[in-house]
Amino acid sequence: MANNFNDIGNGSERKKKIRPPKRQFDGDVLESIIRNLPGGKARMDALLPAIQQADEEQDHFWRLMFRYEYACEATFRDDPPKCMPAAAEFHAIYQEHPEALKRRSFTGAMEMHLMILEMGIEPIIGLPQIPMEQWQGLMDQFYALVKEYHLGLRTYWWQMCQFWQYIDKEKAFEYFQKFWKTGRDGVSDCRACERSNAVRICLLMGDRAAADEYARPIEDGRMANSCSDTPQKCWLNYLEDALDRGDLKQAEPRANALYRKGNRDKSDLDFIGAVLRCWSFTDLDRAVTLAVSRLEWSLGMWDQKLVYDFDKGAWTCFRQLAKRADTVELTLPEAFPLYREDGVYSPQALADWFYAQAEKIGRAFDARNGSDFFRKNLALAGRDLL
Amino acid sequence: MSEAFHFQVNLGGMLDVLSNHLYKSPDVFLRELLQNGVDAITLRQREQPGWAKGQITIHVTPGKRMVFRDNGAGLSQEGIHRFLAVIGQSSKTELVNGKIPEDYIGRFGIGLLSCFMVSDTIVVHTRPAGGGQAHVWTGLPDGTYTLDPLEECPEGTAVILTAKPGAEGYFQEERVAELVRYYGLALPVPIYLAGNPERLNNIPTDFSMVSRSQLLAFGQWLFDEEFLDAIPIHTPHLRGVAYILSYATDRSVKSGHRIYLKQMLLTENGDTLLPPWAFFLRCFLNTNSLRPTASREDFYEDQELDAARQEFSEAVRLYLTRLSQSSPDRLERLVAVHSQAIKAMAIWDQELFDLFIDYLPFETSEGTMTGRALKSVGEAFWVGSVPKFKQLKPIFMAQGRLLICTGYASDQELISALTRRCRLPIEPLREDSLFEVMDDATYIEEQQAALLLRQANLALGEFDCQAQLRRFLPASLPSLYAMSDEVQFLRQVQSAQDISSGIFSDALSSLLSSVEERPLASLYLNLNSALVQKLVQARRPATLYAMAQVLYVQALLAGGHPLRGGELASMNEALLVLLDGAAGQPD
Repeated sequence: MANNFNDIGNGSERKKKIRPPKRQFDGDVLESIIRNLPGGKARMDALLPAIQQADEEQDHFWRLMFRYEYACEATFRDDPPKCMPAAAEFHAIYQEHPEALKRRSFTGAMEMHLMILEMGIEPIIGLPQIPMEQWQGLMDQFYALVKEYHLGLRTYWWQMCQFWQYIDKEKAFEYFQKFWKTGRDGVSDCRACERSNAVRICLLMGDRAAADEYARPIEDGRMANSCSDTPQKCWLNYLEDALDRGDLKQAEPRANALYRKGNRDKSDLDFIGAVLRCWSFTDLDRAVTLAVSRLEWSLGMWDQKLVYDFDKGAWTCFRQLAKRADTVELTLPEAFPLYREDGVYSPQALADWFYAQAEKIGRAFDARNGSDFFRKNLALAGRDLL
Repeated sequence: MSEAFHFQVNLGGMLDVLSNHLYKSPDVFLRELLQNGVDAITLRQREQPGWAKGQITIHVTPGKRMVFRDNGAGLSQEGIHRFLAVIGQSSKTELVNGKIPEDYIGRFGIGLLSCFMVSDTIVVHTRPAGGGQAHVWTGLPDGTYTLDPLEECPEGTAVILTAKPGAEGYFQEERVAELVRYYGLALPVPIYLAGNPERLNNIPTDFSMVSRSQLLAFGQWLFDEEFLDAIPIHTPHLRGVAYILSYATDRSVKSGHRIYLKQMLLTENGDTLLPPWAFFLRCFLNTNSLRPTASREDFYEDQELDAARQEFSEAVRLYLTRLSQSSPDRLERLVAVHSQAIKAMAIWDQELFDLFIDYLPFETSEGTMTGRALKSVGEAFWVGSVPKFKQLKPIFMAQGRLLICTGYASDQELISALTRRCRLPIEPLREDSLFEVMDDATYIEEQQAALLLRQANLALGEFDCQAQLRRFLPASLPSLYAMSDEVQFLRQVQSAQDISSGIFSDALSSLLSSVEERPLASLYLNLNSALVQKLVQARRPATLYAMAQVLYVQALLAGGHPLRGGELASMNEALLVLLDGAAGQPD
């Protein structure tokens, strides 16, 4: 009889026999399977159990990689705030296991760390329930890492500019100038996105010539393959600018082009909202069809800026429709608060609902930001452009 | 007034940038030579109407030398100084009626420089076809050149390259033939290797007149793979063939098209020209009217490109429509392989939707079903999440009800459209729709289980979950955890907050506290399960509390939900309670 556990069956052989077979975890295989799935929700659904498996295996490399991929999918193809938990967990795991990403280059790991933090912090701009001080606190910590890593300064300035554009455009422009003067690095956005950002700020400042200059390579098609949001972001800036100026002639071709490229998933709701605004005056039937088909995307979205943009467009659309008909038959999603089984709606009631939502969100943004940007912005959308 | 100065250009450095960094690979030198040769022949045709003897001949001395000869217009001494010696100057950008002539391929005046990637000298022998003195021009990569008269020289131009160390591989007949076919297959000018009468680039000019079997054979030769079908493309902007791959693929796979501009290969990448759903196609296309970018590796984004894209979509759509009438079996096979791409098209095109929906496959609790089958199934639900579908599938199967999974790309929109257009009783499955597959407990059962429910709700409260009593099949499943997308996200936020200290903790906390009415997940306890029936009878609160925690964690695991730290700990505690209970008095 054995005296202690070590004597049982002479050690490991017996243990091997009674131990259940270890489940094989192969992050590379899992990742390649996930990459074959369509982007957005399908990949996110697959990444959640992948994260869980990596956690169970304590495979820190894949714990970080899958979270990074989840954050990318949420940011670029779904609802950006959904990446915040993944970003927070990535940060905590990376702090604890900085060696885990050694399969990547040293710089690559730091770039990844900063990029996921950027993805985690940026959605706060679109979440008015998170106070400005907390955003500022996160940006301070981001800046501390920028200094530590000697990377990402350009990105930092852009993040500051982006937040301040809704508060104080002069200050935003100062940040923009710092952004543009700082050298690019591995954390920087794609060149076309940076130029689109520049166009946005210049239009905000009323400097159309400068905007055109920044936009030229994009408009010439020289940056067509930069990223999946090029050239839509640039077109959106011009479309919104034209609509705000009441210039439907310039807006219409932009809207048509933007619709063709910027109607892929939830993250395109800002594009869709601007297209709706334009089509409300140029092609109302098409606008109504688009609003109805994409309403489902906007319901339950966390990113309030995207919801605001969509609601603003839908408001314009149903407001115009209300001038034409008292009732309309539509197939709206059941989750829509005004859903009716008979499908008969009052366009005016729909317009009022979308306005109320946009106004509520805008008010929350302005309250958080201490400005009146959204109030003025919504007022511009209230003009009849016909 | 301030004095104007001229930029100083380091010509050697410029040449290095242009020849070694502008292009992706050294082998483009042959593309540039072909382009210049064809343009020279086009110019001669323009100057001498009726002349149709243009050809290109390439003589290769293996590993050493190449003479690339065209019998085109040739250059005069003035032309040599203007066009061979000035970077950015091209004979082809001279305007005709205010426009750049469309029949020339090149226009930037930098192509010849690419030869410096494979040769340290570029020697050009040229004689104008319209008569005049022949010359030899010798260019060096330091930016200098010499020009001398030449006696023996036929009409046209010969470019003579000498292999520089490391570039010998490009100076082999097989390699040259391969590159000519790659870049210049569609060129209208015959191209030969010296001493070989076989033309290197012999293909039809109009693919709409070629039989299907010939098209497929050509595709197999060109792309080295068999295709399911071939779609001739003949539109105002595009000519060629779109081949349908014989295997399923997705949009992340590099597609390897052959896209030609003015019969010269421009790119293998179809992202710019082709619609996003075209990933199931391999295209051989030529266009004469689209504009290239400066590196000649893609198209310039403009209205013409837009029109070309639309024409392409229309051509594919028309072909498939005809196929549905002439050969539905073939269409069925095609859809079986490429359902994902076709689904992506069908979302945006009602005609395509009507055409394909009967053939498109969808995953359901009864296995894969086509749209046609779904039209006659009667009541059904669809759920937009693959994990949720997997969790609910056994319940629906056990009850003989149909659940459709729409968690894959395009499926939700298609099922929704199918339901709407055919007025089918198919609905999205919401949390409250679960009642469709669950029966309510009776009043008496609720009363009997009051203690269990009370203890369960106490145990699950901290996890934002409520217990509910239901009766459902299969009886082997004691509990089911169900949550909305909102609850799922909040769970993620909660988990993240648990492990993140400092940096995100406050923001996540604000996010959580901003939710006015915290949505609750549900743990459905199945009265058909023997285990739950036993629990209804049990009277020890501590046991019921612990069992609720165990069932909760079990249901989470069965549903593939990640466990938060507190949940795992609570199950361990619950198991200890149960062990203690087992060691003490039974109920």
